[in-house]
Amino acid sequence: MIRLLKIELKKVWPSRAFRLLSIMYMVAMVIIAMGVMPFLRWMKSKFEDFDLDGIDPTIIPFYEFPDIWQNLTSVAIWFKLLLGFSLVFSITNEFSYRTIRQNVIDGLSKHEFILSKIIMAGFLAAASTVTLFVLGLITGLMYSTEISFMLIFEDSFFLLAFFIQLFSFLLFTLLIGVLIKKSIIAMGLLVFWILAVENGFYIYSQVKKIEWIEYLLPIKSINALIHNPFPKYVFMEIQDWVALPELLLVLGYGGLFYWATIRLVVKRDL
Amino acid sequence: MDTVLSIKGLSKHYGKIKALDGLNLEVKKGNVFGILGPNGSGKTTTLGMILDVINPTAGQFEWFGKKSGPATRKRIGAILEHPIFYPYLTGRQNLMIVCDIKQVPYERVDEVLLQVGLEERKNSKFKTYSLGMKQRLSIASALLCDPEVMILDEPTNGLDPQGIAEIRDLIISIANSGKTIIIASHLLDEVQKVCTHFCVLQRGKLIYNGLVEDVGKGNLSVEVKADDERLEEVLGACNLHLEMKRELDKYILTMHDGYSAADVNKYLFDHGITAKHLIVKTKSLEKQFLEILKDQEGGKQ
Repeated sequence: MIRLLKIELKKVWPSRAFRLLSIMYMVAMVIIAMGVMPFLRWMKSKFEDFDLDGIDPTIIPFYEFPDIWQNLTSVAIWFKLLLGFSLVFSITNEFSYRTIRQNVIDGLSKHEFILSKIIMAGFLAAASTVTLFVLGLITGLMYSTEISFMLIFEDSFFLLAFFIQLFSFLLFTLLIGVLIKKSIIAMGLLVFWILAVENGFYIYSQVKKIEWIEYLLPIKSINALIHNPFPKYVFMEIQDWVALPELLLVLGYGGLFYWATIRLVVKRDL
Repeated sequence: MDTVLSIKGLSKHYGKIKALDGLNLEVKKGNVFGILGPNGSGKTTTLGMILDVINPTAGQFEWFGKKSGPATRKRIGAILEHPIFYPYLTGRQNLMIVCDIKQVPYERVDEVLLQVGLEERKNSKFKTYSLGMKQRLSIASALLCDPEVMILDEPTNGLDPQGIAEIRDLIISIANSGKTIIIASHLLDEVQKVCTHFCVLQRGKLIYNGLVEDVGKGNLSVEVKADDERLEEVLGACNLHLEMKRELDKYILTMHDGYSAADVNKYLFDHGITAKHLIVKTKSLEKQFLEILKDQEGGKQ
């Protein structure tokens, strides 16, 4: 496994497109993790300009342990497409340069080849999760009013859920990449699927009140694993836990993408 | 001698098209084996299957007497069609990835780069290489694992004459070190210069399999020129040759067994003609190849 990851890192890291996309992703994560408080302060100063002194957005406890984990993960997952693109780029390049064929000729099995991409997806998901954890710790320790070991780690299972979300999503992008083989078309399809197809079906299911359709939409299901926590700040009820059926659904999709991706590569002539 | 590769009844069908149809072949240790055939005769398909990138429709093959797998491929150095590397990586970085795949120590990278004469450009990106350098890098990559077998598919494709000569010398020096080499090519001159054995494929079928040294055997042919009007008449009257053919100002004689150019010379001299041009022509592989293909076409009708 280490050998396959090593090969994969040697392949992608010197690539400018890959570095650019992953740096963009990291920067986006830092900005959203660090930027909320300055943003709230800015809003407060604007409100003061309009003599609305009564409203103070900075009292929104975005960074309060343990709520911070759900807050951060539910926002950070928006940027998953940047990471997905970098992965699509790396897999479609293997097809357009035909290096997948040379890799197999050189002594990698087809199974090992696609496994190296899957391990890379796992590595990216794990690295994002660790980054988010570190950012959460820093900002939480800075802004939390109450700090204790218990409070810090109480809801940290959201980080694990975030990892599962991201990994399943990246497996989906790998499947699209393996299926389409052309980078631009694969990226286009990815955006089209997420924005048009899934939203279209979602709206249809809402209008017609057919709830089960939602569960057939992989990206919606993945996104739904961590519920949006922000309505609670206007005193609405939210789900502040990870529900087992939703988790099983996401794991099911992840497993399906894993199986389909491997099968596609192994059965195909290169 | 040990058998390196044995192929039994290997076939690949794409719908109705038979890219390869029941191929049987054996390659022994130390052979330099040429696979010849016109474009689209199934050479690359065959190599693709024995390297596990194309799934066969039917048949089996064995490497070193074992079923093929990643472990056997690590003992083979192979290039299919044009050189394939990551264009945004340097020559050295590309070879290091191959080292990781083949589980070979990185020290080999500099050794093989030196061997193919690329050490000066090892830190340039692959996409900046000339075609000749790309071909040399792919040979370097095939040499990384000190392979027992090398497979080269059109190794001199698209090279200039100097590049072709360089690659040929490289192949000969590798062959001299006792390695088994399998070369697919449609450049017959090439195969004749480096190979010990050859086979001919046509439309997915094996139509010939034999030794390169046997190619020259058979009837001798002699080319004659002379500044004498009687030449045609005199030559026509002699019974040294089976057949006589005129090409511009020269006559090509296909000799009877046991007669040589010396006999022609003596005969002409006896008839008062001095030849100004007398050449013994050994049959080239090219000629043999075309004959084999022609026989095959003839046999079909």
